[in-house]
Amino acid sequence: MNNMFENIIKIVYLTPENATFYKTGDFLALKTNIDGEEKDHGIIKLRRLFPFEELWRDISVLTSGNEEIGVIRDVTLFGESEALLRDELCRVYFTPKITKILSMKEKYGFSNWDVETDIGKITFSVRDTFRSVHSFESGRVIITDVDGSRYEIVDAGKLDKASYRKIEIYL
Amino acid sequence: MIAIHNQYSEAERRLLLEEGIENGKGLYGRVVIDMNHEGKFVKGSILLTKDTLFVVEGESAEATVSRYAIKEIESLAVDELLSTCRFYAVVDGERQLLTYATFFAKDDLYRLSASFEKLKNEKENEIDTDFDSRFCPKCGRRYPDKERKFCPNCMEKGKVIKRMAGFFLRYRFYMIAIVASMLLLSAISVIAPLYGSKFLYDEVLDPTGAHHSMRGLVMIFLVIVFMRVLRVFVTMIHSFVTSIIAAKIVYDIKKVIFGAIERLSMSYFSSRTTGSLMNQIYHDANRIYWFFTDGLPYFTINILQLVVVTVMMLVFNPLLTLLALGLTPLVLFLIGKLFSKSRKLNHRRYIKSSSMNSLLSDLLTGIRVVKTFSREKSEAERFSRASRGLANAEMKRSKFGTTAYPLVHTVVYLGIIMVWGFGGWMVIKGFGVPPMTYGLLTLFLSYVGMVYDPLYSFVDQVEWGSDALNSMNRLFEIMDADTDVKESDNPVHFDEVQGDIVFDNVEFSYTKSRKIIDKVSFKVEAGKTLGIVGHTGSGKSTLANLLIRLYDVDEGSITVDGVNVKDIAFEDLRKSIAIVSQETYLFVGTIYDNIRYANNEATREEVIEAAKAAGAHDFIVKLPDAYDTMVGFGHKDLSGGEKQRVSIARALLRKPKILILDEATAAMDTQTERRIQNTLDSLSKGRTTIMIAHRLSTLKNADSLIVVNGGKVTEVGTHAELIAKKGEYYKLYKLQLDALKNVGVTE
Repeated sequence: MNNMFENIIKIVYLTPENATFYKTGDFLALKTNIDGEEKDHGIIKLRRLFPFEELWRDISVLTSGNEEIGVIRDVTLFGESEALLRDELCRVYFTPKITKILSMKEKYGFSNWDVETDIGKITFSVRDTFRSVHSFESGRVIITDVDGSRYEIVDAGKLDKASYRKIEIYL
Repeated sequence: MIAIHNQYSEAERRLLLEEGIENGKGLYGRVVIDMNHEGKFVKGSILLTKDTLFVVEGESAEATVSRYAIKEIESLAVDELLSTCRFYAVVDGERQLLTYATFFAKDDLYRLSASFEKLKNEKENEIDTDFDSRFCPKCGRRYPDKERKFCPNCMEKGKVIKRMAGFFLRYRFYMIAIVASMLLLSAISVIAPLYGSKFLYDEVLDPTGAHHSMRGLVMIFLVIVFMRVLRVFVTMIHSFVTSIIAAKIVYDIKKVIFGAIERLSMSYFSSRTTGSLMNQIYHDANRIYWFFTDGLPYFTINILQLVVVTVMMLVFNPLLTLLALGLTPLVLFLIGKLFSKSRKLNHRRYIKSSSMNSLLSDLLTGIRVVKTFSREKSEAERFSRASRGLANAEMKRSKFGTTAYPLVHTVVYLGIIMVWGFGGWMVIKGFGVPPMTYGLLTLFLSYVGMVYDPLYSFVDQVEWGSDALNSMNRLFEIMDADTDVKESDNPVHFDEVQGDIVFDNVEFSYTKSRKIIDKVSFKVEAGKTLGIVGHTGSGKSTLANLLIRLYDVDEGSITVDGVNVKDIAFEDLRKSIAIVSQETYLFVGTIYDNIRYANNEATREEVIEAAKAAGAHDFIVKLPDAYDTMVGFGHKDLSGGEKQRVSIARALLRKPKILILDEATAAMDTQTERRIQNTLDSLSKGRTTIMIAHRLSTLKNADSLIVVNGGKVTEVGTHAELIAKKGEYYKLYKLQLDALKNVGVTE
């Protein structure tokens, strides 16, 4: 199965041997040496190929113009640069984690949420609440607001009672 | 806490004062942000003045302000992450992080970047300084839906209802009849117990009563029968009138909503799903109808009845009244709580059932794929999961219903029992002024029922009322919405266009983050053929959409015969241009109707000629019902190629001066394609033709060709010139030729 497309399609896997990640300001950049060709791609983007299942494996590396440079099989392979990669992935996939729901009220098709998160308090509006609150079997809940920003409840079962009661019906 | 509103903070006011900016003069951009540069939720803002960009973190006088000189910044840009974005400046070729923000500020940040670019290019007067249009002018909060200028907190209910009531004016006689019949029914309910209980027991049956005689009994009997008959009669009139106008009004509202929606430009439709629009037309119309013919009158009359009954009870016996009504606040509170939960449970059940239904329809439609990959077992499991979800939701709902409602009933019953007990005691003791009698007590009991019964529906009605208000609001928003693509106030009319087309530095994007068309310029002389070549997604079809103004260009201009398309009358512009695209759509109707859709005045002969020219006639005659064959959703399914030929015939019937063929033959087999291609080639004579294709062989004969890549024109020339140039076109051509050869070999 593995080599089914070997002659047709070749995926470039980035390894510490052919790729060097470095920081430029707050951004992550990459130099590669693939098949003897040295190249500085400048600032790059990281995308998880399986964002729900694999946090640190199968990471696609794209240029700022969204062209794929290659795929990282596992960030732990990168030794010293591992921290850089983890840091950047955390930034890209950052979702505020809701720790307490202060109030949640529905009005004219929207619900207004007033919550405490790991990075401070915030209010946001959600359209069509039943469809915008997505719960997983693990107790994880993802809430998508009107602008498309996501908020996460790591485990709804571990919320305080008052918070849980406010969202119970949507789970 | 970050509650997003656009009022200027203390920090901003101080800053603007320092900079000498008054009333927003000299301010070229302002974005309210909700995060700081460390990625924490902190409210702040970004301000753009002529020479400085300020990033303010915090609201108080102690807020941190970072200053960036405009002349040092090359550009501003937004980097979208999953839930947040990074806003940065490019300084000396290096990105410098300015701040983080949630998607709340994303569009505004893009706008600020564009304003910045204009400021850099000394085009200050082109900058859009209306940075507050997305915020409610009344409370300063941002509209939750960026497509709708609707603030749930500041909705003026009275105004909305009044405006909507305007629609019902034409039905005023019916409405008066409805309200009058309701009033009459309500009056009967209040008066009937007066005779049926108080008068009957105290005046007729009681030996001490003033009318204690057979005559009195017959009289009261007749009155009671009369009341009954009157009630039945009025109820009949009420239902009769309601059923007459129900259909009419719903039909009218649907027409108004559809008319309003249809008027809007394409961008409105592409940002919404068909499902939500259909929902809107169906549900909103029903909700609005309900509100005016049932909800509002019923609610008002109930309130009126409640007041009248309470006053009458107070007159007869204030003490017992207070006792009887003492529990109403508790009942109202209970009902309020329970109904809101039961509504949510109902809605949850609805969501679960619709998700199960869509899974079911998905599985049945895709049953071939399921069987091909032998996934029956896992699909059955998936279905049983969805089904279990629905069952759980259903169970929760009925469990709640069976426990919650008896509770409320018990409380209400308690109130009634108390009236019984205390009232009975009063009757025995002859207590009260006037003294309590048996008749008065039974009257009281009927009245108590009349107070409690409407309470059950009040809470529900308030909720439904808010839904209806939401529907009305949505309708008005659509009616008031400015379409992005507007006809000019003094449009230029053409009897017949020549067909000279010029694209001059055209720029366009569907979303702010990605330019689809980037400074595209080309010319097509009248009667000539232009071929547009490019990869999928390179922006070819968008060029056609811009020409017929399904969308308007962001920058640059498009002219037909030297006149900007924005100035040409819609009808004349669209009459002169016909598009045959890769997406064909046939409406429900006969093939004949579908071809004639383009030109209502076409004769039968013309329709047949067009069908012949498009190569459709041959397959149509083979169908048992020929041109009268019903097609479209739920009828005869034509193949992709057949549909395409019908839609070509439709376009040809228009006899357009400008013909756009957007991958028109892509869905056909080679033989049919060749035949139609020949027809199209001969049809394009004397017409300006734009051919969009990825199969280059179809474009060989074009007078000129442009190659589009990433929204830009990369090559221009004839087929021969571009081949000689050995550029991108040559590469594409060779690739396709090789592919054809390969196919030839394997065949």
